[in-house]
Amino acid sequence: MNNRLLSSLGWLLVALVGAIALAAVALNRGETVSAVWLVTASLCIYFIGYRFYSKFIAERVLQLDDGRMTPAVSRNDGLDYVPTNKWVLYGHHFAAIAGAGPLVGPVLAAQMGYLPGTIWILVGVIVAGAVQDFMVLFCSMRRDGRSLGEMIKMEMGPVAGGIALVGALAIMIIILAALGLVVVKALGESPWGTFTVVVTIPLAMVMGVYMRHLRPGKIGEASAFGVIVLLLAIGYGQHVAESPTLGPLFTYSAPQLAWAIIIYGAVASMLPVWLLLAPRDYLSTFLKIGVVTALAIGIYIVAPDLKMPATTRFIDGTGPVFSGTLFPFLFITIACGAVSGFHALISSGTTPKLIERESHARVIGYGGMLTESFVAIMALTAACVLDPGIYFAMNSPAAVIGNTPEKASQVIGQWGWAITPEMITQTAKDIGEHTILNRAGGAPTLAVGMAQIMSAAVGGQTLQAFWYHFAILFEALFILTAVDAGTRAGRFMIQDLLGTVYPPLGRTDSLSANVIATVLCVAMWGYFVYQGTIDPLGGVNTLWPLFGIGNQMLAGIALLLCTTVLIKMKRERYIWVTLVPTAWLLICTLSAGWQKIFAGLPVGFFAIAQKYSDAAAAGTVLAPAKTVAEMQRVAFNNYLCGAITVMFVLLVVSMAVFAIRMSLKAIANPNPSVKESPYQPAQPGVSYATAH
Amino acid sequence: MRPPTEDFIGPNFLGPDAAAAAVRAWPQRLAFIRQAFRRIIGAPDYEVYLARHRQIHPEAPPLSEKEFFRFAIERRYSKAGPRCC
Repeated sequence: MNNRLLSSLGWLLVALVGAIALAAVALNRGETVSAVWLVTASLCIYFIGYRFYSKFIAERVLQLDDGRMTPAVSRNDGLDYVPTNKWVLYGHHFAAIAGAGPLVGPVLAAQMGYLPGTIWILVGVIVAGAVQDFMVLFCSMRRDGRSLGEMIKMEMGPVAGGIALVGALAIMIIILAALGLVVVKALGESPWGTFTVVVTIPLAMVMGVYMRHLRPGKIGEASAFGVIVLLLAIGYGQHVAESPTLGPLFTYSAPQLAWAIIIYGAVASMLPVWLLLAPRDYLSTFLKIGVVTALAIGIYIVAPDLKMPATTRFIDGTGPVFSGTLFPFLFITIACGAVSGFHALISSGTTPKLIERESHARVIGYGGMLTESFVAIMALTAACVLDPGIYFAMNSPAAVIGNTPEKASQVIGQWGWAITPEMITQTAKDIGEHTILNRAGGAPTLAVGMAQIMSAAVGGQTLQAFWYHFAILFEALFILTAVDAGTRAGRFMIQDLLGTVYPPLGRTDSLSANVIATVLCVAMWGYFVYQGTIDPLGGVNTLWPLFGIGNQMLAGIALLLCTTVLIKMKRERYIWVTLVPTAWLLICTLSAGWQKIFAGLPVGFFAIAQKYSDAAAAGTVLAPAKTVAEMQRVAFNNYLCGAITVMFVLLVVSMAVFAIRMSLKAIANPNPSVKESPYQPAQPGVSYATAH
Repeated sequence: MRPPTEDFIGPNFLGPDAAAAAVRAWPQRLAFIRQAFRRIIGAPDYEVYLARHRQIHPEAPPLSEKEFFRFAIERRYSKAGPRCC
């Protein structure tokens, strides 16, 4: 009785703090608001959403059953299937889903002000993102930890499974390209950043050799060594950047870096995993958790003001960072953090094989995604504490604001944000870079924001450049890990597909088949990275919407699967839980896809392609292109992006048709028709989470 | 309330076992922390494998620590899906 009263009072307090924080954000319109209010309001909303909505889903909708054995217990092999303490697994799951996505999307979306992005992140995660992660985890857990593709095959038929596989591959290629481009844009003409990122390669190799040959399995020792060397490398980077001999060795243009990352991707994904991938993965996971925690603490210590207004004039779709109106483009620009289809792949990968009890899926699936969403809120905050003039100087393409501080300050001044050329050069100097202009992609913006927050907390002005490069390295580190691991995964998918046509190409133990599939995979994403650096209209601005559409469509597909499963379980009265987010995602992605295909300038891919190919045929050169060849390239790339959008749209529409057909069949069937693994009772009162 | 069992190491941080865990010895707690650290970053855990192997295949010789790490790391990255965005 006493406990219940205490708990009710506690939740009342959370609700009260949340309401006060929201009021502070809402009532201070026109004045600057402290970021602390925004972050606090978000935290309270997460707690309330977790306490009430996820409880409802766990108890009523999914009816999690601790009397049922999980695959981690029934198939415990001490390797893939291991029952794991729920808080440890929550940490593992969060580390697996958190990547560069929640850091990039919100930063780009900040061009519309902090409010639209914040609302979408919060509402999206409670109603869609966390629900998807949680339910996919549940579905996989009830099916021996099967992957999303296998589950679609089981519950929606083999054709649907095949289509989903092709779709997942296409989305992965786009995401690898977008992430690769983020790194390239961040390191272009930046010897300090390039040096520290290059250092991570031999460093990871030393760690790999240490863990394999010298002290097998001593991961803690190797990771501690790695972190220390990394910090030293960041410190030494300043010396490299200033040195007349070393500096030029690490100064590269964006197209050169694009080639570097393409070659890196091909070589790294063929090296043995213990040498480079695994050690760097440990290192980046370690840093990821550390930096996220430090940033949260930093925001509370420094309590910076949000300098970006709540909404800007760019909600009308004329923004320089990405084109398109608030609806639907905000909802695809912020993918991870609100809802991300990629998580469906993680939630049906390693995690379901490690869950000790069914009820743990709630904190791991739903709670893990809320934490990722919190990272997105902090990224948005870091972008919005910057001076808006600086923000637009960094994120607008050269075609719009030019290449010099003078021109940039003039254009941005016309938008209504006063900024002097001196402020732009001073910001670059503060972070130890030559220029901050045209650094679209989110990473540098976030790094400047983080550097300002962290240096205000620790080290002051003198450490700002250090913190900036620390943030860049932190993002580059896990993007390179994703490029490496993603290329490997893409290779397996390609071999899977090729193997159905010509079996020898599907053999994963054949070196030549491996090389062919790897080169194919790298060539596909590498093309977009390279074009992003030489196509005057290309880059993150073009690629990110494509990634967003693909990623949200994958989420739509995962939620369609969850809806079908609920119907097949005969839980029709709860299908609104998945149907509402599914419908919203389909509306957003299909209307965004529609606009990208059919809209006029500057949103529609085909409209841009048409304009440039017509002009090229007539022999005229349109800015920002400089030659007819460049014009043709712009036209071709836009046709290509348009074709990919068409493919995504067809993909999701066909999946919707499969889901509806299957659901109608299941509704007509008076009995549950779901294909779960057979029920095995769990031993009551035993904790399995262990092992010595 | 779940009673702590023989094969349980360390506290279930916030779970009902927290009280029982408070009296546990430090070596066990350290073992738990080491294990948690490994699991979170997704590294293989030889101790877990060895204990389980002895339970389910007491007749077969287990892999050595070195062999196990080679096998487990290879396996994780040859099957694991893509990392998130």
